[in-house]
Amino acid sequence: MRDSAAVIGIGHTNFRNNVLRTEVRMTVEATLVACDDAGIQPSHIDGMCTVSTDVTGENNLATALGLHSLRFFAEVPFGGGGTCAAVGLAAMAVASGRADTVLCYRALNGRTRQRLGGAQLPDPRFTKDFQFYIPAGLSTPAQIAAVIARRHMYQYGTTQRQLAAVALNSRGYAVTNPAARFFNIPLTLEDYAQGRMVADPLRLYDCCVDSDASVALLVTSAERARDCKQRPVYIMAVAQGMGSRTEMMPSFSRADITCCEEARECATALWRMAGIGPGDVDVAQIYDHFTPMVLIALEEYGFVAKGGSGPWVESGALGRDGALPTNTSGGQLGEAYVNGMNQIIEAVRQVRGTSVNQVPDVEISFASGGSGVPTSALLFRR
Amino acid sequence: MRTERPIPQIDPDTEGFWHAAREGRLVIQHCPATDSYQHPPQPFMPGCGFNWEWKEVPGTGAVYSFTIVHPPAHPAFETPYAAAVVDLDEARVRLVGQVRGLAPDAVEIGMRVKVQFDVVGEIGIPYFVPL
Repeated sequence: MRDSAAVIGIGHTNFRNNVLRTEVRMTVEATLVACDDAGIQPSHIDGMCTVSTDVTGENNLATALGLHSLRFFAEVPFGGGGTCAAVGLAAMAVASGRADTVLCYRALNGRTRQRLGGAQLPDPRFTKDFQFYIPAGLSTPAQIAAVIARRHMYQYGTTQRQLAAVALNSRGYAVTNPAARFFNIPLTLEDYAQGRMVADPLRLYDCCVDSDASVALLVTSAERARDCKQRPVYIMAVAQGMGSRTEMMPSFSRADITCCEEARECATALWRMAGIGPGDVDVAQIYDHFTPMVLIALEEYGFVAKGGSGPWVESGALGRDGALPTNTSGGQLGEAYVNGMNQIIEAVRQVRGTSVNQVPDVEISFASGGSGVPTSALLFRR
Repeated sequence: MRTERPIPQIDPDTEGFWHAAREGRLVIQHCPATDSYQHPPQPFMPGCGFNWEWKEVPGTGAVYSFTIVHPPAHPAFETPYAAAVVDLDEARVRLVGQVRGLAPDAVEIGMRVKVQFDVVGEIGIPYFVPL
């Protein structure tokens, strides 16, 4: 599959919308932008991939776009863990001849409808695990990430200031991204410290920004991609990972909850498939639903040694002049929370050379899905 | 008047745990063949297959990690409260519960605790107090 498929078009809705629009409405809008970007007609789309938590509905979307013959449609489980894998499914569909042009999308009315930060009960399908946590008052992803963060702090001396450094990094990039929710709204360490406590040690700005948005991208074969409007961005490798005693974030029964085993499994498979290592990556988009999960993902993907992420990030490693510029569109802490699909299209822009926060001479661009749940990651190359 | 407390969505693989808790007993899924424990319970255990048993264990342990929950939280709970993951001594599995009987910010990793139960209808819900 390596390099046999490419991303040819990307699109997204406004990330600062405050009026409820249906997921289908938003995804049509994002798809039309992606088609225009690629220089193709929507009628060329013959496949669709998303995550299983998406409620758009492939049939609704096909009808709205006026598509008459779809040959491939598939969903990847586990929400934000699955978005990179959805792009991987598209690449496999194209490489195997199941489809010619596959639309990958993720729509989320996270602001007006399904708040990640709310104290709503999880999807009933997850109650096998959550029946032991909800009655104790542990139900939101932030509360669970806080338990993981606390243990990381205990084992490795990670500090609140180092969590803040992750938030300040994302928000720093968002300031210069006109599409971001926090465009032109800087966050200082003082602002961070004044953010209300959500689930100690997580404060308000440790948490991603619930958004109403849809993001779309188009995948086709490397051969067809060469005739498209944009420079092709090749899908170098995609991998998935699930570790031991996996739950929808808690996985509290593992020997060490600070190890996101799913990310470690995924990393092993990804680097093997690509034939390169973390040191070869020029720019990264690390799934940032909560700041401590970025620190842990940096460790599990091998960008920094286990336990060393806090000081590394605090030293500015993720910044514009750092060793690994990361979350360059502002990520989900600064741009929008769309299960990381917005981070994947930023990874595309970095290879094209068209990001508003462009890193010079990008050859290889990395994106990861949400860690803490069964996850996925990908590498794009020029 | 606070909202009713959320109760677990029990299934046939887990009901033994919740019903024993109603009687003030902590039982953990146990494999007699390998003398190993598993929690949360699953329908199957490597070693004994479907022939596992519920085994009563002492409810003592140490706080492995925790958070102090502030709003937003489920409306049944008065914030702030400490919710902890506890390493149980004998079964060597982790059990989640609130830690009560002290200020939430006095909870520490490593703190010794003992399980207690709230009775809610047909089931018991575990929580911890300092030992």
